[in-house]
Amino acid sequence: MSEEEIILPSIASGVKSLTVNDRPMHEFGYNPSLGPHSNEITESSLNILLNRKTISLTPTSTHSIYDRNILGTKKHELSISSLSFLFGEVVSWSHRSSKGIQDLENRLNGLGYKIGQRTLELVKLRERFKNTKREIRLVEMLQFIHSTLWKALFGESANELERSQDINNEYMITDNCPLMAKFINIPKDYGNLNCSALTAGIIEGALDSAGFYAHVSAHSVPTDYMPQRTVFLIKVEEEVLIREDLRGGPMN
Amino acid sequence: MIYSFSIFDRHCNCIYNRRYIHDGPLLTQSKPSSVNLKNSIGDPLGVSITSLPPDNGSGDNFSPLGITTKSKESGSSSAINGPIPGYINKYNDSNASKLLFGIMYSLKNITAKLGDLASLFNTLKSFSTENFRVHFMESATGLKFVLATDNEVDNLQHILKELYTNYYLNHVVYNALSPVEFGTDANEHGKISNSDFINATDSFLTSLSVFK
Amino acid sequence: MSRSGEEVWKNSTEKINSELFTLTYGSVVAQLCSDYNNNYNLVNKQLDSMGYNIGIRLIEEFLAKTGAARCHTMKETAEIILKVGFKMFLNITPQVDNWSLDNRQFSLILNENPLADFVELPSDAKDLWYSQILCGVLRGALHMVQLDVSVWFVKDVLKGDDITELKLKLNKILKDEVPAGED
Repeated sequence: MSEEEIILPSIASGVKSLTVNDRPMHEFGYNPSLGPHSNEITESSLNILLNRKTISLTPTSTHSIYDRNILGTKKHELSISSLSFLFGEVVSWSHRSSKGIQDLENRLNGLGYKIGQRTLELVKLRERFKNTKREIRLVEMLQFIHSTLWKALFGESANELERSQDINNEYMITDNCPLMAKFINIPKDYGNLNCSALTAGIIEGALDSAGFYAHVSAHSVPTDYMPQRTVFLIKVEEEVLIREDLRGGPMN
Repeated sequence: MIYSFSIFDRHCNCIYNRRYIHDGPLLTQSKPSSVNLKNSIGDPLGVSITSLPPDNGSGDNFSPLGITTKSKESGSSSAINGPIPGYINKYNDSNASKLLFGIMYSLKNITAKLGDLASLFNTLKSFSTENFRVHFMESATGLKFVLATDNEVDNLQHILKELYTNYYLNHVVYNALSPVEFGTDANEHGKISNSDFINATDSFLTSLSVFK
Repeated sequence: MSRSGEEVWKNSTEKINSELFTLTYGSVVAQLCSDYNNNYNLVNKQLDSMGYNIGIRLIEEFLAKTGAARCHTMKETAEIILKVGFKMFLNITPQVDNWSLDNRQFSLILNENPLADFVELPSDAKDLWYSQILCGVLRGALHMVQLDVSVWFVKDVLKGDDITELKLKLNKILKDEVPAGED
């Protein structure tokens, strides 16, 4: 690595604060106060460019995350136990730093929220030719989460998507065997904690990023054959329902 | 016939102890009375067991491994309802447990020294006495799995391995809310009280042909 | 005897997409940074202790799945960690280098790191070792087989170095505990 400082393209590096009187540090750099002619290719700047073997415009060296192909079809896989161990430790750590069951679920929800925001972007980007429009109707968005998002994260789509009969802003996604909480068994002194609160957070993050503000919680509804069956209850905000009406009534 | 199943951790403490009570002529106890046995964390099991004289170590009604010898009171076999009869985590710190550990520890050291040094090191598999045989397996992390049976049972190494790789792994290791380090103090240490683990190992062991 | 990493990976491992793992880890690090107000030394310590807790469980699964016994030399340990351990859990194969003269210390070179896919550190996060959890995991796992080791990062691609390098050093071999009352 040369010891010269690399010109950072991001705003945080201070490009924003350059004034008309600033000289470029290495005789070649963009100064937004001067405009395009601050780094136009002239006789002298051409020499600089030709003499430098590379001009790296990103902070890291040869490996830059911007060079990687995010759309790549080659999937990296790892063992489910790595995720379970990480998740287990996350639950323990959250338990240590929170004051009660509700607080713990909120923390897990918060962690999942960040994941959900990013997953939505990633999955939408990878849809490629299908990505001609974004979902603006609630039911379509829920169907998208239920099938495409779930498949991208957990390998297969969720089991059911239902709408509550009595309350018109509640929807439910059911998963017979949630991947994240597969190995967790709740001891009795933890009460009715549900570790799928993280997955609920993922749904909430994805919905909020798409403009459908909702609150999601996870509830365990074990049956004989599926003791880990979990229902994610999605409570959509009033504003969303009003908007749905404006767009032509709820779809069924 | 399997009498008991114990697990000792790397700090030489007994972290799980499960005794099975079998019907039959060998079993004689005082008249049964229904008692709800609470294990160490107050989780009622709802199993009817006999009432025993207090466990003061040397005054055990049972021999160290949970096998009764014929005592003076003849009685009907205990009225057992509910899940598998026996004791869960009741005798972890009894002198009996410590004695068992001590025997295994010493035998382990001796067997390691016996045998040809050039070959792979020797490990203890089981030892037997007149009335019972103890099967032993130790993992590389110092976890010791012990099954006490009668002399009819030959080799339970594969069962012990199954208990480790399947049941212990799935219910204790993978379960983040149940601890794996149980404290080092000999008298104040945790025990495995995970109901999933207890039920799964119970149904596994009782389903074996050598159980009865 | 013990099974190879490739074999365990192919046959006995249920696989998942690594992106969920990467995103979960990223979310955790972000939460830790905000909890500790960007005091990166504390974040490193917390990641290390979380890794330790993971390591003490991970070793049981590792031993159960591979049937490995305790190693006699550090070279064996290094080989098992790389060829079997990393392959089994993260599906990567790091390299070993820089053995010290007494064979008690070596470097692990990670050519790919699923924890840090698509991560860019902010410019003030010079003290943060993003994948510190790996150090904790190795330390915890080896502690359970009676090896007291120190593990630390020396280079990280996220900080601008060309490779990601961990150093592992054996401090001492712990003796098995004896029951009270014996010598």
